[in-house]
Amino acid sequence: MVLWGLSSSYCYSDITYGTTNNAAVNGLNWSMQNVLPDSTPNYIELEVNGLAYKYTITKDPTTDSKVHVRNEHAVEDGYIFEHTDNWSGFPGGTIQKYFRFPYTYADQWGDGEIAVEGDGTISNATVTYNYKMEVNEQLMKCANTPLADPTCRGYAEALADYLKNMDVEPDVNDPFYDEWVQAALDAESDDKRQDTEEEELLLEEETEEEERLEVQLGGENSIEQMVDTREQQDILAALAQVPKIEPYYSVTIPGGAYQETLVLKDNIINDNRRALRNLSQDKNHKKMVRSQYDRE
Amino acid sequence: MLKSILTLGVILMGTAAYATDSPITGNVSSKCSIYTDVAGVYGNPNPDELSTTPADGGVHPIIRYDVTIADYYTAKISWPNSFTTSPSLTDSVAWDGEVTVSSTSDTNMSGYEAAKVEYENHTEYDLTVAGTVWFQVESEVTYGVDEPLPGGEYKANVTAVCLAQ
Repeated sequence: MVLWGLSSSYCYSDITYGTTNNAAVNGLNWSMQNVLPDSTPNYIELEVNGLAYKYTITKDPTTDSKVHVRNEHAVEDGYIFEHTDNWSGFPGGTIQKYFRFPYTYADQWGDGEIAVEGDGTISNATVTYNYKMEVNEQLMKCANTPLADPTCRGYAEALADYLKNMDVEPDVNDPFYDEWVQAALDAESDDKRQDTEEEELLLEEETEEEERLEVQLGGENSIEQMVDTREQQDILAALAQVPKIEPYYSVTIPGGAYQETLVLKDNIINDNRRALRNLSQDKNHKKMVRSQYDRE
Repeated sequence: MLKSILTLGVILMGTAAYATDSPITGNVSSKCSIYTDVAGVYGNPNPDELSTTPADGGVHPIIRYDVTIADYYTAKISWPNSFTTSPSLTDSVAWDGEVTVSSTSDTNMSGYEAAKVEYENHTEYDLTVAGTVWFQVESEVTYGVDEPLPGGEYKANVTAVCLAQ
């Protein structure tokens, strides 16, 4: 009892066992879509596990006749169910049979028929199917709305959309009031964090700019910053190869004597007396000295 | 004399062997089962008449025979010829009935109806094929001569038995 109670608390399926109406009520051919319950929604699992039929055949006892009761296989070739009654050499009569088989998914059951091969007329035909229908209540809830349960697929997106489209503050009795409050707090927290991040980013950029300026103005550039040392090493390595550096050693510079071609003649250069007179005055001297400091 | 001694010796030896009875048990399940698939109902189409015919407001009883072995049993079905429950009746009651094969589970049983044997209110079928046979029983009651049946509850029984051949 305790175990049952525990297991039932985790069971989200509603199982129904049932029998269909007479599939042959409108004739000897029928579509299973019109016979079995609708299992189109993904939260419904429908399986067939039994079949019963009854019909009356009217025929001449001396003739041959076979009656096939069958359903096409909806997925594969052939029939998923077929049973043949051989009435050859027998008088007509009413026959009814029951079949039980392992559960097979309803979507594998194709169209059904009662077909007469040879002599005979069928009347009062009855064909019914036994089925098990399992409705996954969890999936059904989620199919109605993903907001039904946090475990539903798409719950987060649906909740975000719901909260986004909420124009006014929800009532405290709103089922998603707590989520709305949490979302509002999260949004506020995000804004603060975003402001902080922007400030930190700005500060970091300013710091980097200052450091670049210092490097440019400081004259303390390292050799690595000015010269691509790797490239220089490559050049030196290339020059170190004997075939390339050899021409520098083997070059021959032709020798000889270089004769003087310029002749300077002795002469007298007179002093600039005017300049001497200007410089002899203190005023001009001070003006000239002051000009060094007043210049911008 | 020797014979007597030997006999005695045998008796002594038998006593010394602690003789015991060893039982043999076994169960035999019935190979023929009878069920009432549909309970009959009397309709009252006329004041002096009861009938199980659907057109008369009645329901024919359906009796099912399941046999798991062929050619061992005979189905004997008797339509009723007396009431088990009824008001006090002061006039004569005329009984009539009919037993027919309603349906079968095997085409080889389709000859049952033609081979049935009827006498008095009884009908017998040789169950020559293993499987299930449904028998339909009709019952009609006519009371007196243009005299209405007294008001009250009426009950009658259909008797169905499985006879070993």
